[in-house]
Parts: sequence; C-alpha cells; structure tokens
Amino acid sequence: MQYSPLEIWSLIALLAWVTLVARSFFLVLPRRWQPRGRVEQALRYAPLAALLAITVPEIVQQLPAKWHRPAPGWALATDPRMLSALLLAAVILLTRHTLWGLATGTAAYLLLLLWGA
Amino acid sequence: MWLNLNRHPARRAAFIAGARGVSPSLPAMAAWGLVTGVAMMKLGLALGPALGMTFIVYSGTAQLTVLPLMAASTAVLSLVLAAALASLRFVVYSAVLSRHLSRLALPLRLGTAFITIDPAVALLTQRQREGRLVQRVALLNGANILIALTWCGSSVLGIALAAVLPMGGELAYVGVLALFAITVPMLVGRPAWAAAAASIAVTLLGADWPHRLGTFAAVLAGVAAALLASPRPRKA
Repeated sequence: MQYSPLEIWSLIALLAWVTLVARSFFLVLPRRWQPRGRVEQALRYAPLAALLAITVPEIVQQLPAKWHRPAPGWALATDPRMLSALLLAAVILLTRHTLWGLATGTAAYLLLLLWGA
Repeated sequence: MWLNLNRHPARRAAFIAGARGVSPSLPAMAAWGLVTGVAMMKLGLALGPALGMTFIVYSGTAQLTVLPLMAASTAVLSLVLAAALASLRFVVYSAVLSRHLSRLALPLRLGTAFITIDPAVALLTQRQREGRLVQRVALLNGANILIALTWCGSSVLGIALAAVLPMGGELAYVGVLALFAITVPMLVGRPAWAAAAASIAVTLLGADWPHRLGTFAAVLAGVAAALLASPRPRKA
C-alpha cells in the first residue's frame, strides 16, 4: 500500500462525503420527488431485500465448487455454512427468538468446522 | 432537540424502544466492527487513518469495499467511485427515511440520515407496519446511538487486537450469520416473501457483477416484487 498521508486523509474525507450523499439522497430532494403511496409502502421491504442480498451469496458461495466433487450429495448436505444458516432460520421461524437462532447457527457452524477439519 | 429527553416522556419512551428494538442486531454489528477493525490494520493502515475511517467514514460497506483495492494501490478517485457504487443501497434507505425526517431542520436531517444504517432502517419499517409511528425520530436515534457505540467500540477493539487476533473467514461468517438472524424475523406476510424471493434470485444472478451492483439490483427487485405482491387499493 503506497499512499501519502494527504492521499489517505483526502480518501477518508471523500468516503465520508460519498456516504453522506448516499444516506441523505432523497432527504435533500424537493418533497414532491419523495416517494408516497404504494411505492412508499413497498419501500418498507428494502431492508429485508438488502440484508438478504448481502448474506445469501456468502451462505451459498462455496456450494458450486462442492457440486463438482466426486460425491456431491454428502458434501452439500454437511456444508457448514449452508447447514448452520438453515438451522438458524428454522429455529427463528419456529421460536421467534432471534438470539436463540443465532446461538444455534453459530454453534452448528463451529462444530461442523471442527468436525470437517 | 431530540436529545432533550427528560422533558418529553413520550420521546424518551420512543428512544428507549428504539434502543431495545435494535438490540438483536448488536451481535452482527459487533462481529462486523471487529472484522473491519482487524482488516484495516492487517492491510497496513496506520492507527490514525484506521480510527479516522471508523469514526469519520462510519460505513462498513465503504471501508470493506476500498480495503482490498487499497492493497493493490488503486488510485484514490477509483476507490471513491467503487465506494459510491457499493453504497447505492443507502440511496434506497434515504427514500425510506424521507417521509419520516422531512420536517426536521437540514443539519439535524443530514446528521440523522448519516448515522442511520441497516438495523435502524429495518426497525423503523417493522414498527411502521405494526401501526402509526409516534416519536419516530427519537425511536431512530435510540437505535442509532446503540448501533454506533457497538460498531465503533468493536472496530476500535479490532484495531487494538489486530496483531493477536487470527483473521480467518470464520469470524466474518459468524457476522454473516448474525445479519441473517435479524433478517429471518422480517419474513412475515406475502409482500415480504415476494421481496425475499426476488432479492435472492437477483443477488445470485448478479453475484459476479462488479462493485456490488448485484446487491443494489437485488434491493430494487425486492421492492418491485413487494409492490406487485401487496394488495391493490380499491378504486372508489
């Protein structure tokens, strides 16, 4: 990494500016351009869509490689990332307790890693 | 001022409700803060800039986007462009926030929008679905302050412990699980499942697109699917 202090601190200032512009974009537009009605209702699902778009690729990332191995069925069924995420989702959907689901998923992930190692 | 809580019992209650409401997301914030703090030091940032990124940039998305590119000595303006494209989902969040913050004075509006990240937006939309929102700015900032303390605290911890922490992908994946855990409870009702299906399909399709544009396309697809799946208003 070769950056001068001036470059680093201008980078930090510019990144903060970009972040501010992105996070306040619609808040500085004229009020008539701000979404209303059904679009505003549907925008309530944006965090759900964003969080899935961030997490799901990480959960399934290694599956295509396993598919091409000699016995793909077993490798896919015991995949630590996939299996722990499925367990986590099942516990949360059944019990409605986020932290129990997270504890179950994390424990399953670590145990599967140890077991596979 | 929104911090003037003592004289406003309702505002104070909303502030506390906001802090309580985002508490399930704190493990995710802590894991990601730690990962980001360690990553900044391992990639060779000095202490000052690493703290500057934590407290001034305050965006895991921007930081984790530029770090690998910085290792390859990419030009500063290319780094900024990459961070801007990766931050596009925040533009959608600002549309979510616009209705709730539009009456605030400009500095307070910008300040609140700047520190509002995923779990706080998610909390606001969940509460909004349950009924009319009272004291929503206090709710948002109760959530924001707890998130900021957790994120910055764990980032500083990661910066301090970078030399001794083993940095595999395992901790980062626990962070993914923690984010996934706050996502699953949002799957209630037809529009939510439609948004989820569309978002997952598009994010997998766009997994190889540069600058996390797949993530942004998935957010737009999710909102569009929710729009199609939600009941149409009856024509009078």
